[in-house]
Amino acid sequence: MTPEPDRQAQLLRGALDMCLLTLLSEQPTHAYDLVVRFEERGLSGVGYGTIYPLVGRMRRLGLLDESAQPSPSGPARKVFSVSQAGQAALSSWVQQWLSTTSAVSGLLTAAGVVPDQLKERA
Amino acid sequence: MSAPEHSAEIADAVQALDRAWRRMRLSRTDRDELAAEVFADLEAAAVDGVGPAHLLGPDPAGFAREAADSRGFVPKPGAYGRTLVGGVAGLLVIAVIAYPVTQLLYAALTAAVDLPFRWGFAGAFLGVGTIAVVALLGTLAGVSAALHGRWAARTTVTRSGLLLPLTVGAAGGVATAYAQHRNVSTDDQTVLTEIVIVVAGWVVALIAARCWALRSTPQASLDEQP
Repeated sequence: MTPEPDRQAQLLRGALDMCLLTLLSEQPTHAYDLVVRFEERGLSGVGYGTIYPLVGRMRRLGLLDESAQPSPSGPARKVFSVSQAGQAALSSWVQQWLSTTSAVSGLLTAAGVVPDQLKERA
Repeated sequence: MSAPEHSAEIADAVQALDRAWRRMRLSRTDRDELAAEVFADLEAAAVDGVGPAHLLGPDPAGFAREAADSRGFVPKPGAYGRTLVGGVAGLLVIAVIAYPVTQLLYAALTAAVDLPFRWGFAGAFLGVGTIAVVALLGTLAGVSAALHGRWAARTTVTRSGLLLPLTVGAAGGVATAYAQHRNVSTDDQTVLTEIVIVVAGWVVALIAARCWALRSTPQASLDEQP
């Protein structure tokens, strides 16, 4: 059975800000590059129309810092990185994510609805 | 550098976004900042062979709204129609209240005071001036009520208070000149034209006041109350 795109998008929505902070903590970059990097990690449904406003919102909340990066072909570009507040938020969100996914996995496993090959992978 | 085949598309897309932001009444500085960021991203995408239509999606106006909203740029609706309707309603209400009061005062004053002289020009000036002040207060009250809770409401009322006497006064001057040109005729065409001139001055004042207030009210004054 192929994954339902809408359901996948809904599942991802709650973790998108955490994923974005994670990618930016690996390497500061600009909005379009984040779209590419989401795609490289197998999250191809995350478009620029989602990422750009999310970056704006997180910057407004103080979770991101911005700096100007000289561009060889035009004016300097804005590069986003994780601020101190962003680092703290990321740690807390990762804890939340792990405990939630662990609880959900435990529930699924106990109910016997997880196929054996997936149990081995887990 | 962007791929040449996408250059025109990128320019068109950024212009369309700028028009959307302008309709939302974002300041030029904010629009330029957003446009520069999106332009740089669209150029980077074009290098990868991705066109602006793919990046911005099927609803560029929605993207523009989302982008502005995420930055905390709140759209400032013009509400010009509401301003004019409020002004008209204020005038009508004040007229309904003022008419019986004027009749009562007139009756009381003429019964109580026997003036030994005629007021002449000063009397007419006082009469017209009183009507003008009452009409001004009615308009301002109406505009204030109509814009209650909306962006730059208080500033609009203040600016209307400044502009209405100027433009309606100027329109009154033009109407008087027109009346003299028509030998102070009281035929329908002359009277109607004089009314249209004064009403035009009144409308211009309110529109200009609203426009001035919207342009001069910064984002930081979002919580401004009327």
